[in-house]
Amino acid sequence: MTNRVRPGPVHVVGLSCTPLLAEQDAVLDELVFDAVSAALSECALRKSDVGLSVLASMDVPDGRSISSGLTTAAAAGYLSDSYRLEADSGSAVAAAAQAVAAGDVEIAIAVGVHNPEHHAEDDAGRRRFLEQLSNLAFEPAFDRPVGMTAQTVYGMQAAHALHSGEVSLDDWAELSAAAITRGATGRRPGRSGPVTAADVLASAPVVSPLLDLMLPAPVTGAAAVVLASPARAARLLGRSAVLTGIGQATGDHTWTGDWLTRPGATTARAAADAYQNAELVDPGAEVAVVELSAPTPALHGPYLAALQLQGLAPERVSPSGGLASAHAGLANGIIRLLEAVEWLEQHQPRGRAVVHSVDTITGTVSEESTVVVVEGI
Amino acid sequence: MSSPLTQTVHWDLTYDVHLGSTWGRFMQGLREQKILANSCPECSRTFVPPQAYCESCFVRTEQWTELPAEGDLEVFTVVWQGFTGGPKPPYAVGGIRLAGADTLLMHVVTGLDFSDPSTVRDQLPHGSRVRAVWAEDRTGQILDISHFEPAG
Repeated sequence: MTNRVRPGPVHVVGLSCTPLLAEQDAVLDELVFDAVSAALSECALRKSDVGLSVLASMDVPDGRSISSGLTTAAAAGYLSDSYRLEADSGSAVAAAAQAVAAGDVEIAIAVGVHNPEHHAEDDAGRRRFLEQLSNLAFEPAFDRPVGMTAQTVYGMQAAHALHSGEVSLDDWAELSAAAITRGATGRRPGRSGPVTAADVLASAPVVSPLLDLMLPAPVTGAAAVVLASPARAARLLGRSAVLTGIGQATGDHTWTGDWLTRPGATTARAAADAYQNAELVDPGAEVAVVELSAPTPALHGPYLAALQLQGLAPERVSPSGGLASAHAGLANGIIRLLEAVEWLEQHQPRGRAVVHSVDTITGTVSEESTVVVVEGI
Repeated sequence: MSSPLTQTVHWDLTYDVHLGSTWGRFMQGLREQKILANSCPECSRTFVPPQAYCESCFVRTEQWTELPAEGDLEVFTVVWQGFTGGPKPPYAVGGIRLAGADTLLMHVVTGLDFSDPSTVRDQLPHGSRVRAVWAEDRTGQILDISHFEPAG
């Protein structure tokens, strides 16, 4: 399914992210409050200015049935319009932008939070819990009993890609090492660096052919973005960026096999809509940077091709280090937007960036992809 | 970082997931050591797991057939680090295209030597023939097929 979102120009006026940590000693709503209040402060807005808040979180990692009951007020939704999506926060951005573009509200907030309610001593322990949640998300009659999880899907997709002979484990080790090393010097590293390809190849096997340092670095936190109509944005302080195109698409079930053979298909559909909205004709020439959400190096190429950005210089693909450096679950979509906007502010204040995010609860099976075109102004 | 203060909370729910007539017929077939598939009357694709409707043509499926309990292993992965409550690693999960099917059935694959992770991938090349091994006690669930193993 493709969700056509016609945002018109929707301005980004506030963006914030909590520190990204292996585990947060905080209740979910405290994280949401920290991210939302900081994003509002950037543009000198108050809670009463917010017309709509859209929260991305998921009950199972949150450890609460209807966890939005806890987080709504912290998302500035108390006594105003607010709803929650069990999806990546890229979907929350799309929904909030749609409300602004439609003229329903002048100010909307999208927020994503990820702090799985599980204490573990290391990344392996955190992954075992996240994988248990992933197994629960699979179809219960056929896929769940045989042990399907996001990581098994990523492992099979990677094995299938290796079989093609067009990529190699060494290529993926180079990609992962470069991403982790880049991210280690950035603002939100989840892994320390520098890391070499040899380090990646020497890391523990997790789900063959993928090794530990090829998989996302699990971190936790919350991120929020404040969106405004053009008229309201003109009177506000804060960020100077505008969303000009948004597209979303959803992938297919296990049995079709598209997740294996065409893993970039949902991203391509989402990109087609986003680019049409943004009147982006030649992405390779018109886009300065992309913040990609590739959970494994085996998806790096298919996603870039789907975005028509395979010709972009390597240093312009996830300068932040992407998910190999830090992956904050459902908060990821807004963090990728934050990274892209910060890159534009620093390098090309009037440049154009593409922000790509996916949910990772069931890997490339039933994957939701969001593509956002953001421009500096 | 000092260890955060937490409180243990436990969810323990038992669901009775409705199978409907299509999946119910398939599961009943498993009890009798039969793998049943159905097909779309318009595009003729054959589905295992069976589908009540063709999501592409958006019509009801018809034409049930029994497929052989063998197929091609299109892909597999070895899980070296599993999940809480899951099988003890290492274990392998694969996508099997049963003979006559247009779809993938996911299942556990055995017959691999896990002693050297770097050689596992070559032990069952793409398209290796595998066959279903039936569980002794069958109760109408996907694990009535215990696993798939190399077919010779």
